[in-house]
Amino acid sequence: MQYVWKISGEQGEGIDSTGHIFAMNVFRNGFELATYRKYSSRIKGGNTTFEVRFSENPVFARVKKLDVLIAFDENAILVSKEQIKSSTIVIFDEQSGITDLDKVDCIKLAIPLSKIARDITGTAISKNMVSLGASIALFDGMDYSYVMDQIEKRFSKKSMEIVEKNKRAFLEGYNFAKKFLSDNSILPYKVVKGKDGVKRMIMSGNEGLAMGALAAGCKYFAGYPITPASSILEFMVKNIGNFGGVAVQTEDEISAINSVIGASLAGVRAMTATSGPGFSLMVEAIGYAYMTETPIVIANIQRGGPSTGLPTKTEDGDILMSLFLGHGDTEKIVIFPSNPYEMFVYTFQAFNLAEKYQLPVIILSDLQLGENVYTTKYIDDSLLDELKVDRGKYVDYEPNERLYRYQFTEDGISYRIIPSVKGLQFQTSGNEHNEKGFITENSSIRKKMVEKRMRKLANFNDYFFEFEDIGSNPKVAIVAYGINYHFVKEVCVEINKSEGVSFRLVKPVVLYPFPIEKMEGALEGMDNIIFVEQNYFGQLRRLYYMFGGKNKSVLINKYDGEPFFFEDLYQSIKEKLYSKV
Amino acid sequence: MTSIKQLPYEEYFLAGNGSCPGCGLTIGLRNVLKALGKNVYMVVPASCSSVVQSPFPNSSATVPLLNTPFAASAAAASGMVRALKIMGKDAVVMVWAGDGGTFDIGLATVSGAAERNEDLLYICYDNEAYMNTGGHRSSATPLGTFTGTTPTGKRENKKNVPLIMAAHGIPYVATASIAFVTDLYDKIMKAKDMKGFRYIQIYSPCTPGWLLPTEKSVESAKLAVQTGIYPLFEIEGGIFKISAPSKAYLKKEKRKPLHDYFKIQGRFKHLKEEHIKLIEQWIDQMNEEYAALDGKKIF
Repeated sequence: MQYVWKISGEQGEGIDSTGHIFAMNVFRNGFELATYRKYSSRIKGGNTTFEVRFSENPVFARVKKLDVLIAFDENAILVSKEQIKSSTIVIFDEQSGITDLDKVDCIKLAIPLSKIARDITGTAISKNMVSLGASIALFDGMDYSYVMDQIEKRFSKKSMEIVEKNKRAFLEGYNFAKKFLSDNSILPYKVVKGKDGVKRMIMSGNEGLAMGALAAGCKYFAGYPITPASSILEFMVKNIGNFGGVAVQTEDEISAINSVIGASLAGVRAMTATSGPGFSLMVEAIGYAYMTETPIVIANIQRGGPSTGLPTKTEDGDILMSLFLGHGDTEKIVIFPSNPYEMFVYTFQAFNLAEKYQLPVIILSDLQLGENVYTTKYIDDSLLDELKVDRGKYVDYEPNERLYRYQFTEDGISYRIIPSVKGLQFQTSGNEHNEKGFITENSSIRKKMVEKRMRKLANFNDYFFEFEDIGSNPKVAIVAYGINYHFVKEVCVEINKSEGVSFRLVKPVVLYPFPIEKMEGALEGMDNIIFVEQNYFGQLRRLYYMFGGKNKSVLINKYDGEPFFFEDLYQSIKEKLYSKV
Repeated sequence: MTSIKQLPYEEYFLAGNGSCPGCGLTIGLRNVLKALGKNVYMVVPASCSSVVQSPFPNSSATVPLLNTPFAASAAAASGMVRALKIMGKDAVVMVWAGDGGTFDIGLATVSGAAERNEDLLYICYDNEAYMNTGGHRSSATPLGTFTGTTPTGKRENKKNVPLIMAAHGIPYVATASIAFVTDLYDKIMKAKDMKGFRYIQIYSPCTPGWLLPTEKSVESAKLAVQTGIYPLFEIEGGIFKISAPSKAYLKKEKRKPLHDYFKIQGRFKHLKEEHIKLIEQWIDQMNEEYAALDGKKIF
C-alpha cells in the first residue's frame, strides 16, 4: 500500500499548513511518509505545492502518480500533468475557473469548496478545511482525530465558535466526498495502519540539524535570512534561549560567521547556517577560522546555483567549493548527512569534530532534505547518552605546565586555551603566527606551523562511512549521498525485486577528509559503478578520481532543480546497468 | 507642488506583475518611474522587487534592469554610472533596493558610493523587514515589531539611515511615502536633475509581512505620517526641512493616536499598553528633535 496526496494552489492560500496537517495526520495513523514542497520566491501568488507520499514501508522519492489531488486553480493541474492518472481523484471547485480539466482523464470530484467555506465560517480561506475533510474521506480507515486537535489548537485562541465552525467545514467536506464515492460506486482507498510498534519521529532536515546543535550544547547561533536555511535561524531564535544560549540575526553573512568565530574564540560552541550566496560570503572567515584553529560549525543548505541561481529549488552543487574554498592551503571537515536523523546525529558530531581537530566543520545538505519532512528514526535518551560531548583539548583552567595556544605537538593539535585563563596570555591572528600566537614571518616557524596544521587530519578516521547490499553478491555499486541515497535505495530494492539484480549501495558521509580507502574497499570487485548526483559536474565522482580512485564509473545526474522521480531514476539505473563502461 | 492630475499618464512599470495584492513597493516604483521617465537604468539587489518585476512572462519594468547580488547594488551602480560617462551616455542610474539591502547587508557599499559622491539616485523602499525570505527582522524594523526572527517583538529601535546618509554630506536626502504620491513625485523630480549621490527612502507597506488587510496598505502609510512615526523630510545641501505632509504632525496634539496605526497591523498585535507608551515616548522625542532641526543646516 502506498498513496500520494497533493494539494496545490497559490502561495498565500494556506497550502503549506494544510499539507503539514495532512502529513502529521498520516503520521499519527502510523505510516511512513515523505513530503515534497514546491514554492516560489514570491510571497503571495505563484504556484505552491505540498505533496505527501505515505506507506507502511519507508518512502523517500517522488513518484509519477497521484491518488488525490486538491487543485485550487488551473496551475495546480498544469504542474501535476505528469502525475495525474485516470485513477487520480481530483478535488476542485467549479467556481475557481479550472477549465482544462475536461481534457484530463481522471476522477473529478467537484465540490463548491469556497461556497461551503463561506457559508459555514464566513471566509473562503477555510476551503482548506473543506478540501482536507474531503480528501481524508477518500481513505477508508484513516483516523482524523489529529486534524480535530489541530483545529482546536489553532483556533481556540480566537474563539470556541471558530473552532466549531472549522470542524463543521471539515466534516462537510468529509461527508460530501463520502457521498460522492457511494453515489458513483467508487471504492475508497484502503489504508491499514502500520502496527509494528516502532516509535518514529517526523521532522525536516533543518529541524534535525537545529535540534542536533542544541543537543550538542551549541550556545551561540548567528544567521542571516536566506532560503532554504531561514527556518534554522527561526528555530534557533525561538528555542536556543531555553538551552542557555543566544541566537542573533546579523546584518549579513560575513557578520554572522565572524561573530560565530568570536563566540567560539571566547569559549562556547557556536554555529551558523546559510545557503549558496551566503556561503560564498563566508569564505574569507572560514579561512581565518582554519588559520586561527577556531572550531566552528557552518551548515550550508544548498539550493540551485551559481549566484542567486534557483533560490527555491534543490541542488548539491557546492561540494567542490566546500572542500576547496579559501585561499592558501586550508582544510576543513565536510559532512553530508542523508536524512533528518543523520542531520541530528552528525550535527552533534560536527561540534565534537570541530573541537577535537580545532577547525571549521561544514555540514552540507540541500533544500530537498532541509525543508521537507520525513518519518525518521526516533531520537531517544539512549542516543543522547551515546553521543558524548567531547570538547577536545579545551583549557579553561590554570594548567600546571607551560602551554602555548599553538604549541607544536605530535598530532598537530595544541591545547585550546581560551582567553582570560589565569597564567596564560591569549593571542591569535589570521597572520602566520608562532606558538604563542604572535605574528611572525620567520621561514622556519612558518614551515613548522603549516606542517603542524596539516598533521591534524593526517590520521583522521571518523568517516561515518556506510555501505549495504541489496541482494547477494552484488556486482553493481551505486554511490550516492544526502537524501538521494534513500531515493536510490528505494529504486534498487524495486529493481532487485523485479529483475533480480543485486546492488551495493555506498554512502559516503564525511566528504573531507575524502574516504578514498573506504570507497576503494567498498567498490572492490564491482563490475559497474554508478554515481548518482544532483549537480552537473558529478562533483563527488570528480573528487573520487581527484583523490586517487582507480575504478571506472558512470554518472547519473540531475541539475534542473527538481528532485529525482522514482520512475526516472529507475529507468536511468536500468539503462546504466547494461551499458558498458 | 504637482497635483495628482498633473502626474504623467505614461506607465513604465506595468500591471500584471508578481506583487502581492496591496503591495506598497509597486505603488512606489510605479510613481518613481513616472517621474524618471524612460531614460533610466535600474539596479536592484536580491529583494521582493527582483521577483516582482523580473520573472518571465510577468516582467513589468520597461527600463533596463540589472538584478545584482544582495550586498552589491550601490557598487554595481557606481561602476555603471562611470561607464556610462565614459561611453558618453546621459542617463539616470537608479538603485532600487529594499531596507535589508540598504540598512544591513548593503550599508557598506551604500556608504562607500555616497562618500565618493557617485552620480546616482539611490532609492530604498522601506517595508521594515526582509519580506522576500518570509518576514525576518532588519535594522529597519521598528521597536516592538513581530517578525519570524523577533517572535516576541523586536527589542531594538529602527536605524536612522536617512540621517546617516546625510552625515556623508551628500547633496540630497529625503524620506517619502506611498500614501503621499505627489510629495514623492516632487522629491524624485528634484533629485533627478541633481548631480552626485541622492538618497530617498520610501515608506512601503507590505500586506502579508505586516499582517495587514490588503485594502489598508495606503491607509497604514497615511497613518504612519499622521501618527508621527514616519516623518517625511528632506535634507538638501545639509539643510533639514520637514515636508508638507508631515508639517502639522510635528505637534503632539495634532497627531493621531498610535493605536489607530497599530490596530490594523497584525505585526503589532502582541504589544501591551506599556510597550505602546514606550514607543510613543520615542515618537515624541523624535518629533521634538525634528521640529528643532527644521530649517537648520545640520550637516
